[in-house]
Amino acid sequence: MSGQPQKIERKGWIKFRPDYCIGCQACLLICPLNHEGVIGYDLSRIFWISGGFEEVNKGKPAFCVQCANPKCYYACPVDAIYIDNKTGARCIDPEKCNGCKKCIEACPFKPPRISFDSKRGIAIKCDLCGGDPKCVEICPNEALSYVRKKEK
Amino acid sequence: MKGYMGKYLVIDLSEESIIEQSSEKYVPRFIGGYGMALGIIWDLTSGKTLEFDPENVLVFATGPLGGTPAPSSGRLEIAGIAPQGYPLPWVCDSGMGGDLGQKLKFAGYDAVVIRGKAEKPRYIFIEDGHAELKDAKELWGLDTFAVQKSIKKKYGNETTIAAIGPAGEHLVRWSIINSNTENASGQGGFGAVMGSKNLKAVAARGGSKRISVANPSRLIEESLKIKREYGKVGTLGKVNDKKFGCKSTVKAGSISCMFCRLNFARCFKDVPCCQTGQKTVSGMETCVADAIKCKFTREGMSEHERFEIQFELAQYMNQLGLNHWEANIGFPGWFARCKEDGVMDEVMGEPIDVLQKGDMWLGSHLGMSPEFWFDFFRKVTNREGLGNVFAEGVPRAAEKIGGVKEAEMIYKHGYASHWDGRELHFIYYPMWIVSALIWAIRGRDPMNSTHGFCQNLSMPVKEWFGGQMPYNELKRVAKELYGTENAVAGFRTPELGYKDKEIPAIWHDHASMLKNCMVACDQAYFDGPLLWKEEGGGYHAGDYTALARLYSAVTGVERSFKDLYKDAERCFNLMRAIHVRQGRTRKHDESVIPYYEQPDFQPKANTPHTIDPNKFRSLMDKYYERRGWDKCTGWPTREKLEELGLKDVADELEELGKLP
Repeated sequence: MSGQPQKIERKGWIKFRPDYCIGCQACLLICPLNHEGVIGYDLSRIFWISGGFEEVNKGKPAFCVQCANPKCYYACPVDAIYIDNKTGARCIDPEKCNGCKKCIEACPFKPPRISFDSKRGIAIKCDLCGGDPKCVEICPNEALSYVRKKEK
Repeated sequence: MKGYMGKYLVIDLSEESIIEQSSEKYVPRFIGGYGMALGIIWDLTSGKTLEFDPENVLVFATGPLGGTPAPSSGRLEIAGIAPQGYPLPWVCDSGMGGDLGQKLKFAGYDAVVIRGKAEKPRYIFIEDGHAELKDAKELWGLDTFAVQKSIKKKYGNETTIAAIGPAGEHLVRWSIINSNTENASGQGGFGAVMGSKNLKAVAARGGSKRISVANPSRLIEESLKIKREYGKVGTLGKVNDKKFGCKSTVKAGSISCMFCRLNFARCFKDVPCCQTGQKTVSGMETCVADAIKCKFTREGMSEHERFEIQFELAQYMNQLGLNHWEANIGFPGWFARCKEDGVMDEVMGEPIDVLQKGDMWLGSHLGMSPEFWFDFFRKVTNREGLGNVFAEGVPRAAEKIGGVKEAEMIYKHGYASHWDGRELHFIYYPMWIVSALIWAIRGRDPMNSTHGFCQNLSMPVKEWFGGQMPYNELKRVAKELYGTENAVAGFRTPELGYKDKEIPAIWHDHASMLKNCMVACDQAYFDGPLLWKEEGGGYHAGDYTALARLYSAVTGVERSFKDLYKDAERCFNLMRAIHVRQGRTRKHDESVIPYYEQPDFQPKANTPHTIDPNKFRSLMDKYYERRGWDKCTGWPTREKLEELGLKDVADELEELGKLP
């Protein structure tokens, strides 16, 4: 959907409370397991920002926030990104993605919250697991929650 | 096979060669982790190899669950011929938490084997399917934190490093391999093995390698189930503990680790220093570091001052690369006993001042100043003056300067006590009979990976620790878990104290081996686990089959707990065969008896307080018989080894004249 970014309703997103994170990385590892059935750093839709030695802990995860103005959605030249009806997640259709990485370039976050599966040559991103996000479920210390906007 | 990377690295520092080998020879036969390391050690060393010989190998081994979201499964096992072992350097393992194990898997390797001796200081860098030997000239002499900072600066924060400090470089027999601030391979003295090989650090940055999982949805389901089970027993840590003024938060760091971290771990940032010349120090503490923090202090200190100086001391030991267990339990106990027996009055000019007599001999009950301990650790690390003697560890130091008898009252096989009802943990008869039997056979301290018996079955008992479960219920649980309530019988019926105790000892030998092969956390994965109470029902044993279900989900090979128990038995027998090849006999096993002739810590209990050597020897007979080992020598028989598929091991032992 190329075009000017417009506001698209956010229906739900992952909320991260850094003070509650124990750095266990279970979220990072369960994400690709749930989506691809294998585990690899580059397959996770969650990004690990490693802390420096002085930071003491081992870093923290970063998540797609399902932007109200989803630049990735508007940047895709082949309409591979769609808005899921049920969850409002900005999702990538792997059949349509041509691997051009324009969505990754368009993401306003650093690091970008879209991964690239180098083996399949396609972009991959958080789809809120269809409304049942496994990262939230595995988190042992309630650092993650799935926030849903109430239907009007 | 799914779950494994299929390859391991053999790095020969003498030859400067790095080769890849297929893991197939060792897994799934020896599961992974410690089991895989034992297989490699059996093949690459001989009975004559000594701890500091270039021929000694140091194995860093991951397991099939590593790198998966299976809770508390991210540990790394480090094993080799151990400088701390006594009188012989018994092969042992010492695992560490943290994320190095996971990084090695994502770099493509199940294990890294280090042999030989580098001509000049080196470190190893591993990333995405390749490894390199790097020059460590600039790093030699640095403390473990400085080394890690330096390597992270070069390769990025996503690099994880395990390093030795000056203690390892100087071959201190109780030196550690340290990773991050809080993860360490503590027991064994493997820091000194790295030092003897001129190897300063092992660093890994992971990579794009992928871990295949046979049944992803089952693994997710099981992981979530186990996580919920933690919730049932654990108390989740909460954040922002500002008690000590310095910036502190409850944080954790071990990969997929949800247990200790949630319960014990605390991070402290920028704690002011006054002894080591550093302005501040930051670090994370888990249980053992937390224990040492309470110990070395003096009267009249405010809580705040006490915290700061103890924190500085604990981190200083991590930086030098010294073992907290030795400092916390071994040395203070030995000093106190030497003082009591008139063997020693002072250490390096500091009078030994026993504040509290006849109870635990921990540092907290010694009146020796924190300043003394800073000085002591510095001198040990640099082998200065008497520090050179203490660097050899208590049993060897005692041979030189006296106090052998006193050392024997704390040390066995070279390691200070652990969950035995005497020096450190207050457990009741007959629980310590099982601890004695487990310790007799081991190559290090008894309960490093068998907390399930002494700790987890004891603590909930009403009559012992004021818990909620009546002792009689424990007997019912024992019947469920081990098939006989005699496994814990003896508290009310002392005559049953030695009856059938070989059964739980062997059960926990295998359950603990299984954890060290996976590699999973001992405190989280239950070898005779935390007890659960059904709503309105009775108590029963916890989820001890969890590892089998996780293993089956990851590998796709359906293995029950019983099947894996047999695999663990194979690994345990291989460990025994290695010890036998090193010279182990029943005599070494029996060396635990005098230790348990000291009274236990339960003077009010109406039970025997000391071991009965004759009854214990009969119990040992039963243990060997049940294991299929010869009871005169304590050696495994050909029949048993062949039953476990270890014919080659039996053949070699026979050639060496070490088959009964």
